Amino acid sequence: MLRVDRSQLLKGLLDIIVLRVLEAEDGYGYEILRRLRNAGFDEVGDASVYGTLRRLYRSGHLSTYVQPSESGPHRKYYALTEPGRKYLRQRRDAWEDVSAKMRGLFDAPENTAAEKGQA
Amino acid sequence: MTDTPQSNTDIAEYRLAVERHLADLPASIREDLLNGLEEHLAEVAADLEPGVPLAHLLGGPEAYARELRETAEIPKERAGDRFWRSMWRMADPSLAWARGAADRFTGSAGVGEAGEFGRTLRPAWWVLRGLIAAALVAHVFVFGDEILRRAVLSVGAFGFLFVVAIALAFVWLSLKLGVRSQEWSRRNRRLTAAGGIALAAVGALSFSWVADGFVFRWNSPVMHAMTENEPDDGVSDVHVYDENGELLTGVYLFDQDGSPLYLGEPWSCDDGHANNPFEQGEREDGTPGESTSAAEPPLDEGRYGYRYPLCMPVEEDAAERPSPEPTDEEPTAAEEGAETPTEAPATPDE
Repeated sequence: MLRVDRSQLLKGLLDIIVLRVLEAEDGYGYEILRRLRNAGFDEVGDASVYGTLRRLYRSGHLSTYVQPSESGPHRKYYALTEPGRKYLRQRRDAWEDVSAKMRGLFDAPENTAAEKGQA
Repeated sequence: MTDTPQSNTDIAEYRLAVERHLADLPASIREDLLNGLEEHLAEVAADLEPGVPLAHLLGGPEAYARELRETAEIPKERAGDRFWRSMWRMADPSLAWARGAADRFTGSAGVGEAGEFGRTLRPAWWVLRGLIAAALVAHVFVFGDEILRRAVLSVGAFGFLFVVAIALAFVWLSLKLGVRSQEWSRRNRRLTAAGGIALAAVGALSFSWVADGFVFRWNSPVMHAMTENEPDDGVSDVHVYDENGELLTGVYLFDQDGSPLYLGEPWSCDDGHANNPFEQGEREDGTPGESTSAAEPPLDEGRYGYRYPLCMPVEEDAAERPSPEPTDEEPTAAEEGAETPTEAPATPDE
């Protein structure tokens, strides 16, 4: 149940997560998933990453290029476009805002309780 | 490195299974996903140990497709939806006003808000819907068929009971549907409502003959001209006068398209004064120049329409023709209700 709830939460953040891991360095599909796993996002599946990559590509936030691989098939690399960087900044600001408010919301009961205790 | 024939088959099969589960996606998105999917799966497979199936890492194709569709669709409104939403937004002030007015209307009558009142009327609508359906079925399938109609009606009270039975059956079905539909999705309820409205519309059209005299008489000029049958409606005959105030006989009337005009009532003449309204051939007075000259009568089977006047002028009518002399008798023709020329001819030479 906990896992389901987290994956639902993450769904709304997939854009910002994928764009963020591509911000510093371009990457290909499966490698991006590995980066996410390394960052602790174990719930995000390959299909979610692939679907998000294609959606961001269709909306012009990502571009692609193909590079040959020494160890296997050609790899399709994804890179942020300028609109993609702008979109990431906007989403990041929105996330920071929501995150701060959520923090305030969750901190509030403790403060109230503390105030009551003091009174 | 697992780029082997076995893994290629695995990839192709996996892709195919995913494709089956994406069949309902919009074509452009589906194509985009599927075009790159095999390539992507090959990248994934490259990291697998030889012989390990893709599903081991990715889960089943169905779950993969489900996850894919949840993330791959651009949550962008379709153009049609956008259009309707903007329309609704434009209409919103008017709708809000209408809702407020409706609430005030029902509220002032003491039955609460309009929406609430409308909900209390639902069962009545269900009954009405059932009655309309019953009437249509009876009209089309039973009374539309002459043999069935006679069979039903010939058995005395059976006809009445039959109609009541049909009505009860359909009202019951409609009530049942109404109650059931309350639990349906919004979309299905809307479809049901649309079906009900369509049924009512078909019913209104099918039974419009009930209101024939009110609907068609006033709406259609053609029907208006063709159905002037009541004496109250005025024109029972047409009297045409020449420039000298002489009553023309053997006259035919045509409209701008050359179609005969059937004005008046040939059967309304006093006994012994009726001309044959369709009489052809030589004019009564033998002079050929008295028919309408502007439009040549169409020659199809010699059908010129009515021949006017429809009724032979009675003796005293001779004095009723309009006279060029202002002092002469006016063509009142009051008892016939005939219209008379309103202007005196310009060149009196009698």
